[in-house]
Amino acid sequence: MKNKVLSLATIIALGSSSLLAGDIRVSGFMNIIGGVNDIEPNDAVTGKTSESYIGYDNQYDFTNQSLAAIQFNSTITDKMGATVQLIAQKREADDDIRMEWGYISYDATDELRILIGKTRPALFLYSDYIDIGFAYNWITPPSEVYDQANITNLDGVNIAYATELNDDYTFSTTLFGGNTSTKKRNALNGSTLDFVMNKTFGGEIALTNEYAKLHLGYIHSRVTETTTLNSTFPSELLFDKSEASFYGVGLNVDYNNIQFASEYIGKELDETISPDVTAYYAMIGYKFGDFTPNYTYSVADSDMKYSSNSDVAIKTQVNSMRAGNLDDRTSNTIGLRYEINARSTFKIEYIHTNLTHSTYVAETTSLKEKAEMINTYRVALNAIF
Amino acid sequence: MKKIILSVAIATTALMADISVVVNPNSGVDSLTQSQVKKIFMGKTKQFPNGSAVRPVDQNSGSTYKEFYKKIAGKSPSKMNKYWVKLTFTGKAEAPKKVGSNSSVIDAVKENTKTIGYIDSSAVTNDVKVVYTVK
Repeated sequence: MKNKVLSLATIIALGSSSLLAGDIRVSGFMNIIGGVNDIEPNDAVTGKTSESYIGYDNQYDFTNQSLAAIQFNSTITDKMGATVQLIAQKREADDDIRMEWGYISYDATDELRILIGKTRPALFLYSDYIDIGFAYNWITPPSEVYDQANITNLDGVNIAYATELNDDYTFSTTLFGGNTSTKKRNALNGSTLDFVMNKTFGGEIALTNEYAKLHLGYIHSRVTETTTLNSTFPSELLFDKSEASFYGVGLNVDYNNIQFASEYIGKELDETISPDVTAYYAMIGYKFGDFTPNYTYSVADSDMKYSSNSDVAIKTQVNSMRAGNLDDRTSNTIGLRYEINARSTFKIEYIHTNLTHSTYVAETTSLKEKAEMINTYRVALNAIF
Repeated sequence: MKKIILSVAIATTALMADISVVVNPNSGVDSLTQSQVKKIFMGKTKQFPNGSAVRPVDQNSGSTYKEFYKKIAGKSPSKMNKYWVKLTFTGKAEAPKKVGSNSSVIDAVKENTKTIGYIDSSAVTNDVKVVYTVK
């Protein structure tokens, strides 16, 4: 962590010195998030169920979800610019500082903007600004929905068109296409899964006015997966040019003191045993001066497909791959946001989650379900600069 | 009685001073509407109505900044920040550059025909042209 802070400090220092040289603008944001829940890892009584939940177990943690980001933006001509956004954050894989956005922008007209490089597709309502805690009420958006967004960045092209329908309404549509890859470390056996997502394309359609945004998002991808696990890993468990589709419809409203957000999303993974998922949430908040108490109800429903093969080895792998992250779950979240000033907020949150783990029973095609209840407590400081 | 009215008038003027939207005298722009000013400062257009490029500059977060956005967009500084972070960190648009107070805005406008800024009306000089007055 110290190294990360140091490197970021160096970057900031470099940024400031180039500020003198040219027209480079520096901005950024930070989330400092602490959390704890009542999960007992490797609990002998309940058996190995959740290793952790949304990054936390029964030990206080202040690093898992904290992050610091810095963005450099430079105008090349009146129509062209270059932007780099770096984020320092502890991750499952080994990256400490990663480039989250890095693109050349071209404003063909007031309505049409083209980004070439690394961008973040607006798949769900908060996908493209999910890291900026300052911009919403939650500490992080509901994990039931946002854990399903496996594609967070694309190396390719992003074409955005926005036009004002009248004085009140703006219609916008964004098309994106490219490739991406992610790594996922299996906490149980230390192996790494590499996902390569080629021929990824999709789009967003949105209708916005002063108070609300209606959003439709879609992404299609072809996923290939490799693992560092030994050769006994059943290849039929891996994605092999599997077709994956993600979609979401959402609405958020910020009208006077009333705040509302709701989304329904789906994930369909063909030619793989990984479950299809549907998920949704609804959030309501009310602003009393600087305080915004809010309540969120969120649900994720996964549809296990694998039922014909009775191979014990495969079932064991399925169980271990699924542990802790793809179960059915329902959360009730109560949160409070406090505006410290126009550039920073403090938040507290309590999440009560009911999980149902479905695991295969060896030698049979039946599923065993086990219920678990988790209470998570989080605090956060968000700032923008 | 007259004195009281006068004092009240002065006090009110001091509290709610007009803000002038200013451009370079050689910009070729003579006047703008509130809707045009709003579009420029909210990043919805990159051009003056006559088609030439425009670059808005902001004051630092002081009373003029607060008053300007309250009047043209109905937004508090906190709401303006929320508005801009969603655009600047997602590649949609860049926020106006913050240059400082009245005199720095005048300097920026004086130097470049594309620049547009806003200053307290009492600070207007011959170096800039007023194209809209926020009351």
